[in-house]
Amino acid sequence: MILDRVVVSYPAQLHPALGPLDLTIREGECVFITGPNGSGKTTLARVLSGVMQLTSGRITNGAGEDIADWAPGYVGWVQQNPIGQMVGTTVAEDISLGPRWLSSTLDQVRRKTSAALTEFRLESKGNQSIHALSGGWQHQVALAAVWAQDPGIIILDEPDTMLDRHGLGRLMRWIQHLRQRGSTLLILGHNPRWMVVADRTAVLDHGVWAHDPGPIPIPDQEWVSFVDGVFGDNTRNLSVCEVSERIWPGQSAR
Amino acid sequence: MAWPVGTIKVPLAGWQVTDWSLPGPGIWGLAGPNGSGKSQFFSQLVAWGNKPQGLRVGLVMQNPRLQLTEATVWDQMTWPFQRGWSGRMKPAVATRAEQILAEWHLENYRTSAPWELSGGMQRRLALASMEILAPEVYLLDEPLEGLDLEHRVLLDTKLDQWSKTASVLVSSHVWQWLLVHTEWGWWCDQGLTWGRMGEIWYQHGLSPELPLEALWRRLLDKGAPVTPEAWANLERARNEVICICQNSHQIPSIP
Amino acid sequence: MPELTPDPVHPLTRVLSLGAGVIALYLASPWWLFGWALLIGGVFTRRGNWRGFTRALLGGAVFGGLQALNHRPGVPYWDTALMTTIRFTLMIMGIALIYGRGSWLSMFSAIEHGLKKILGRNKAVGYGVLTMLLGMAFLPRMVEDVRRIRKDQAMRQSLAGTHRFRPLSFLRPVLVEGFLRSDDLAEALWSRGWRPTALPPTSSAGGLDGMIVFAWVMVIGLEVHGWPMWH
Repeated sequence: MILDRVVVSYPAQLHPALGPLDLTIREGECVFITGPNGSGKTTLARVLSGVMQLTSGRITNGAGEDIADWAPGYVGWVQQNPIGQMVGTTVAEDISLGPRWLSSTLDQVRRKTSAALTEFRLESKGNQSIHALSGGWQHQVALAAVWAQDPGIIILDEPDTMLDRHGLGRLMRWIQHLRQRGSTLLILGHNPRWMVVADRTAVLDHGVWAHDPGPIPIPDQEWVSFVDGVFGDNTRNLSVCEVSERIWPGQSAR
Repeated sequence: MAWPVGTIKVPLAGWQVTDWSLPGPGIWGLAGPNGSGKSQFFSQLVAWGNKPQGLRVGLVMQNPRLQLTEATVWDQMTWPFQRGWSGRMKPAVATRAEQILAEWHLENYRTSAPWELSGGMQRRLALASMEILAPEVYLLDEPLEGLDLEHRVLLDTKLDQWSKTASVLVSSHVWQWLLVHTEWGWWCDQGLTWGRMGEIWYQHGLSPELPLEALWRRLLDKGAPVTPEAWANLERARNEVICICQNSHQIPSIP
Repeated sequence: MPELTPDPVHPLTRVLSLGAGVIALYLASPWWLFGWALLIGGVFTRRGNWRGFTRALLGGAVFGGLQALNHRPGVPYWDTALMTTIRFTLMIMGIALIYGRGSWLSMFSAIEHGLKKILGRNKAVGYGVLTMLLGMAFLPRMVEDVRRIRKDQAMRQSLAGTHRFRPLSFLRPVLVEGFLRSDDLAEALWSRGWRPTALPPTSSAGGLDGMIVFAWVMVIGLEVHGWPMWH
């Protein structure tokens, strides 16, 4: 995906919400885009998913096709507020929505819906009303729904919002799975954990790339700092097991 | 001083607590898996008839948008204090509203419509418009969501400030943040279980996400003398481990 | 779940049954209506949906009360107030029954499929069905929103110690939330593959559908001809 001098302005706003912005995302790449509140992350997601017109500039894919000519459902977008993208009354009904528009037979719709329910361990919740689910589960249903539409590029807008450890674990597995399949991923958010997951990180500020992203804590830095602080400089490659053994040798009681 | 609340029913999650009371000023944690009824519990706490007479409880919901009901950011901050049809209010309220908006970095958005703000700004406005009401009990449902790093730090400062005079009950999925800010709290799963947040993390925290967290779980499993919540604070974790190593003379020199 | 296993009844048959049911209700004699009320009530209770049944009955009772107040003097009560009440109660319960049993999404897809087969891939059909979808998504949420907003406003007034009378204050947030939500939903649906010209697949009609349609034609036809002494 190639963004070439992309500018987006909202009516009645002096400064553009986004741009001028250049970005090239290679096929199969995972890019993490972060930045302060209001920096234009969600606007970028709206532009890339084709729901917002560009004021100027151009977005094309590798084959040179303009964004307006991309196939329906090619860009899957998991929104920040998951309930905002749900229409079906039950979990299964909502997940079946994308396949319904993108498949030619009902059998395909059922197969894709069933596979998404299984993948996200939502089989037992298929018949439940989406309104009766907690925020975390709703997020998971939104993820499953996008998975069911089988997009080429997936935008995850703050995907870890309201997920507990189980949900986060599944999300990470899903992202790994997508990466193995060669899907192109764009993660928007604040949590530094995505810096480790992504191939590269870009920082937006007031709609343009920040030249100096400033110090952003990486989870592993904390670990390095801990190990260095306890055992000295040459021990930063020690694994969790090795460090544990050095501190308190012995077997786990549990 | 604790606030006796009594029986709270959480119908959708299918559980209830009896003789429940909220401790006095401080920050108290609420952790639990998705769907365990944390948000419903918060909602029940502010329901008419559930909260104790005279207790001033304020809730900031998980989805702040439903709490932003006014046409401008300024009105959102001040409407509860406006009196009569003309909406007059005391000058002190206006001064305080300006001050709080500035503290939450929203002073330039006074005339903006709340629904035009970004997700993180809406969260800040929801928190700011609760702060001006100065409740005795803050119920914050996933307050970190949508906040960038700068404003997470600001929230931490605010929490410390509020907790001097008010009870602050916070729910979050981010264990590291919960353990740094709360010492005691509840585990929510088919009911509420009171305990030290460190213990709750150790019992229910599931697979670790961070290496330091994984190390701590391992050390606790082996019976090492570390406090469960210490991993969340790098300095504290390092000091505890250095102390252990010094006692067993495993490290020749301490950096 | 029609999304996972084939539905024995075609979605369009459900839509047709809904319309035919309303027409039949208006044609039928009060005694038949009474019988149908018992039947539908029985289905509700057999499915364990006591709550829905009680709500429908309560709604019917409230409506009955209003009708009793409004009924025209000099006209037999049975013909005006009570009969209309029973009919409306049945309609509400019948709609609730269909809502509970079928999938709105399947019904809308079937309507869209049918219309596009006749009119071609007309954008207006696509937008029309999208509006219906959005409407279905809004209604339950709007009720929940009003409840939450009122609770929040009461909480804030209690905290500020003011008691300003704001009976319609929930309107703006509900409307704004509705507009924003329709934007969000329309955007989300676009990214999920919706296009006004798309032709969603639908199941093919079977023998059961033919029987149901035939039954409705018979019921309405017989009612229209007043046989066997229904009026």
